Amino acid sequence: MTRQSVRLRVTEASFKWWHGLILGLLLAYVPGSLLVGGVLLLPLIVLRFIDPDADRQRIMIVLFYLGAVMVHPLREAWLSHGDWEACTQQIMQPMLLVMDWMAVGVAWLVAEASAIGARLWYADYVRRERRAIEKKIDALREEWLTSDGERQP
Amino acid sequence: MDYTQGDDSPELLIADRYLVNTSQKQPDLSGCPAWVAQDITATGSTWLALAPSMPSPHFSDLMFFRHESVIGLHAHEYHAGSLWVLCPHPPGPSLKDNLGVWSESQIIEGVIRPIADALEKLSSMGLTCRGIRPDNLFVGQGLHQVVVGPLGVACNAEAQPVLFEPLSSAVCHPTARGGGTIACDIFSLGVLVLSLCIGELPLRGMSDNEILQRRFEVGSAEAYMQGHNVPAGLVSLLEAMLSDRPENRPSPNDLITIAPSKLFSIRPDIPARSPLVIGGVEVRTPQALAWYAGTYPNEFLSLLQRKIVSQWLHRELELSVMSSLIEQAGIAFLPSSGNKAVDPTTMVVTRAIAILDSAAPMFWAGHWFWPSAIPHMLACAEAGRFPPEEQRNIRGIAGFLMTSPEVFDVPSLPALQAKQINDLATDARRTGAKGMEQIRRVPYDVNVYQPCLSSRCLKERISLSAGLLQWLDRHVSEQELSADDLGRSGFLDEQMRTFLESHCARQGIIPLAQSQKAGLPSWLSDLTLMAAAQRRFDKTPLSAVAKRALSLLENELKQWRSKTTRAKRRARLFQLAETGNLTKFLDNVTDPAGLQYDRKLARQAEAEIAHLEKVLEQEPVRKAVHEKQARNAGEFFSLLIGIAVAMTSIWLEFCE
Repeated sequence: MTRQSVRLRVTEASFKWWHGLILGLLLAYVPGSLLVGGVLLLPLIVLRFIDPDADRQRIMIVLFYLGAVMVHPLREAWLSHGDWEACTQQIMQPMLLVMDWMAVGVAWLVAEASAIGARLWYADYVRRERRAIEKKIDALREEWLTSDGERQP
Repeated sequence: MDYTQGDDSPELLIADRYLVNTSQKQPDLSGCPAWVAQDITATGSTWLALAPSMPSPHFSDLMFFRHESVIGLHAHEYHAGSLWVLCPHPPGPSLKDNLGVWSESQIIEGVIRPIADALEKLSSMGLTCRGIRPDNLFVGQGLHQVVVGPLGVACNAEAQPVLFEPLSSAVCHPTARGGGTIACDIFSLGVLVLSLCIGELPLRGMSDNEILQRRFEVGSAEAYMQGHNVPAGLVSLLEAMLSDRPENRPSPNDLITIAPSKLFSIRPDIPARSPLVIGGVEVRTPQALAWYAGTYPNEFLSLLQRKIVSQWLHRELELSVMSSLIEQAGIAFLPSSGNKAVDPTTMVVTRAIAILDSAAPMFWAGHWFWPSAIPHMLACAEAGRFPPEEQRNIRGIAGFLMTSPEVFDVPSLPALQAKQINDLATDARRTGAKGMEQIRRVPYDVNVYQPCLSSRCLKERISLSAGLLQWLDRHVSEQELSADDLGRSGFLDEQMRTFLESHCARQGIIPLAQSQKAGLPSWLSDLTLMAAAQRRFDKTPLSAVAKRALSLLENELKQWRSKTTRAKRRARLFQLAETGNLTKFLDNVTDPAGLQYDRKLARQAEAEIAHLEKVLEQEPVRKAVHEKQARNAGEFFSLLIGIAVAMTSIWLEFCE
């Protein structure tokens, strides 16, 4: 399957008409909070577009990391009752933006690191298992398939 | 023969009781070497120890025979598997040295009556004596009472001189005389009586062949008594006893009741007035013709074909029945008749002789013999008493008689011969063997005391299985039995095998010989045989044999697949070799159930190996699976961390 078709299928499947309705309502009533959420979710959308392997599960993982960063600004936005000024101020904080973009990286890093760990663990497991089997084969051969004459002078 | 048992000491202790000094030999007794034996449990009592090398087949019956005129056997014991017979000393010197002239009453009281009584008892037991000859008769000092030497320690009649044998057995080779009948003993007794009357042996200084010729010429009685002064009262008795027709001789019962001057009337044979000339010899009686027919078979056949024999019988002897039978015998045997194995001329001569003299022994292929003597002849042939050519002939004759008794199944065959052939064939069939094996088996089967005839141990006279096993155990060293020989021909030779098989068969273990036929190497089948014999007869360990077999059996262990089992069994093999129980020793290696189990396990192990190798081959496939699993695990872990971080963030935001 090509990259194009994956993207098309995902796009088609993801967006329904009531998504637009909810988005429109949010835009009408809390544009500030929507702005904060939208800006902070931007890395997810970027990831979606640049990484063809990013499936639903990967998005979900990244979502948790992004969510962790988003907790504070969204609360701020909530506390300021969706005030546009406060919201724009929130998303102007460079620290927040850096953390937001890094969350994706961290998610990826953790995933890769633990995958490598698991791979190493499996490799070790396989090696041990192979050694045990070879040992067993050798023992069986020695017991059943050798004649005494071969080793006696 | 050398009867010392291999030790340096000439003394031999038999049955822990009789001490025999083998360096001091006594004169032979009854054809057996003899030594003085001291009974160490009773001081001062001595016996004669006899070493019979070929006891009579009837020894087991004869050894319990007791009679005042026969030296009875005191005991029979085995030493290292060889038979020793202990008997009292003879009462005095043998008649051979001092024949002397006895009076008529001394002869009747001291010779005829007691010996006839003994013969009567033997006859009632179905036995014969066949030992009435000067060197086997003993007379006490100053007494006129003869005592016969021990019976059964040598084979019947073998040691009898031609002079003392009736024509029916004198014409045979000594080994071919067989058991004979009580009439044969009466004849020997007659010769003894005559010798005591005249104080010397009749026909002195003549060779055996000359004696036979003379006897055939004029009849035994006439030949013996001619020119001697025989007491008038004994003449008719002697004529009857020395008659060449067994049916004319008196029975033992007649002799027990004998009184001086008792008359015996027999119908004398009238010789032909004009003789028949065969081979340059003039014959006047059918008996003589029968004998010369055996000497000159070709001349006889030509006479027979020209019907000269039948005409002579008819005209000169007026024996019309015999004449017509002879004529038929000559004609009947044309090459057309059945059996290809028989030379027709041989058969014609045999039948013609049987017709001419119904008391004559069997004549076949140049040999005079009684069929009952065949086992003994075979034994003597195996023991090397005949030249090789003769040995082959005897085996041939024996084989033929055993396998085709029906050839002799004709009315003209005398009943005694027919019975003996029948008995022989029955014995042969009972062996359950075939061919050469059967011929080897018969001597052992008919005579339980027959020593092993193997040339390796013949001198030892071993007649017990246990004795043979122990002898083997002492003689399996590298020098006596090289490794090559052992691998090729086994521990035993043919005679030893046959000996053991016969003894086992007597105990009801029949199919031993099958092991060799089943394709086992001969040393292994020998071991099986020895193990069976050891199980049955002997509990003494045979460690030397077992140790010799070790290297060979170790090879045999290769058929066990499991290395551990092999090692275990090998260790056990060495242990068992020390113990010397051949059965356990062999079972350790030839254990069919264990072997089958071993094979089964080996098959399972092979399947297991194949399975494991397959598992190893499938590794790349599993690697891909693992790759995917690792990725999933990474993502899962990452998700967990994400959740944790999100929770922490929420917690920090709201609870701090």
